[in-house]
Parts: sequence; structure tokens; C-alpha cells
Amino acid sequence: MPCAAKSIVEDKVMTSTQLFYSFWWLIFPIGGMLMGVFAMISRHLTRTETLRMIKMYADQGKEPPAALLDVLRSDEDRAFDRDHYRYRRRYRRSPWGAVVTFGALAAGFGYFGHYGEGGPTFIALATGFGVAAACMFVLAVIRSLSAPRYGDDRIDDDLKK
Amino acid sequence: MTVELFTCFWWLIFPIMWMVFGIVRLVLRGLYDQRKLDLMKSYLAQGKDIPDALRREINR
Repeated sequence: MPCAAKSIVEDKVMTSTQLFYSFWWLIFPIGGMLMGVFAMISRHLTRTETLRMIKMYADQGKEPPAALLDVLRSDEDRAFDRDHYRYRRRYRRSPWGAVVTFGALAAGFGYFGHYGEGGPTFIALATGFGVAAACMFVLAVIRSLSAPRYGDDRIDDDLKK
Repeated sequence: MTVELFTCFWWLIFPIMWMVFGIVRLVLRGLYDQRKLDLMKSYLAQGKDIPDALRREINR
């Protein structure tokens, strides 16, 4: 197998220790995925339990308390439209944060790629982050020029309620 | 053999997990909508108005 050539060591067999040394960083993305699944499932449980309680109230002919309906309402958008929601919440208020972050990463990788020992990998990372920073900068400028501060979107709806 | 396969195709974790996520999401959403429809039905069966909080997302 051509792609395995790099990872096969002297004795032609990769032990589990060596495997761990090569792929320890996979812990982080996989951990993130597990957390994501867990968050998704627990949100689903919260929402369905809330529905169940509202149904209990409804079956008894009572009006469900406003707090219960409110739980449903504020979770509604977050649960299945998470990315959208989070994206808006994080970048709508201060789009400059992303510019600063990407810019700092680009500067750091660029410096150590050029003057340090990083080599072409660091230069490549710096280029990527630099492009991201530039794009975010353009977006931030456009947004701060054109978008209304408090517009017609769901977060403001939720905040008002 | 397993180790070699893993070193070749570890990156497949990401697209496969993405698909799994999509499926989990769809299933959970389907279950939730089913429950919500049940609840709305029970409101209707009693001849009451459906609360706005329930109606909110139904057109999406």
C-alpha cells in the first residue's frame, strides 16, 4: 500500500504505541464529535420532555405555564439550526474578533515559518490563515457598513421576549 | 492489516462521522416533530388553540 509506506517503521510492523504516537491528535476531533453528539441528544431529550410536560398540562385541560413554553421557544432554533445560530451570535456582535484571531495565527505561523524552523508547512498555514483573516476583514467591513445593529432576526426576538 | 488500513484511511473518520451526524440529526428531528404534532393534535382534539410557541417552527 503506497500510503502506508511512510508509517511503516524499521521492523515493518506498527505497534499500537507507534500508532498512538502518530495519531494522538485524533483524540481532539473525535472528542469534539462525541461532545457534539452528546449535546445533540441531550438537547433533544430536553425538548421532548418539555413537550411531554406540556402535553400533560393539556390533557388535564390546564394552561401550560409560560416558563415551560419559553423553554421550548428559546431552544427551538438552537437545537437543529445550531451552526446558523452560533455563527450569528458570535460574529454578528463583533466580527472583528475573527479578524484578530486569524491575523494573529497568520502572523505567528508566518514568522516562525520564515525565520524559525517551521518550514513550508508553517508558511502554508500562515497563507491559509492570512487569507481567512483578509476575508473576515472584508466581511467585517461590509457588515459594519451595511448591516443594521439590531435587525430583524431571531436572536433579537428571543432577547425581547 | 487493520493498522495499515487505519494509517491509510484515518481521514475517512471525518466524512463518515459527518454522515452519521446528519442521520442522527434527521432522526432526532423527526422524533421531535412527531411528538410536537401529537401534542398539537391533542390540543385540537380538546378544541383549544395551539400555543404560539408550538406553532412557531412548523413552516420551516
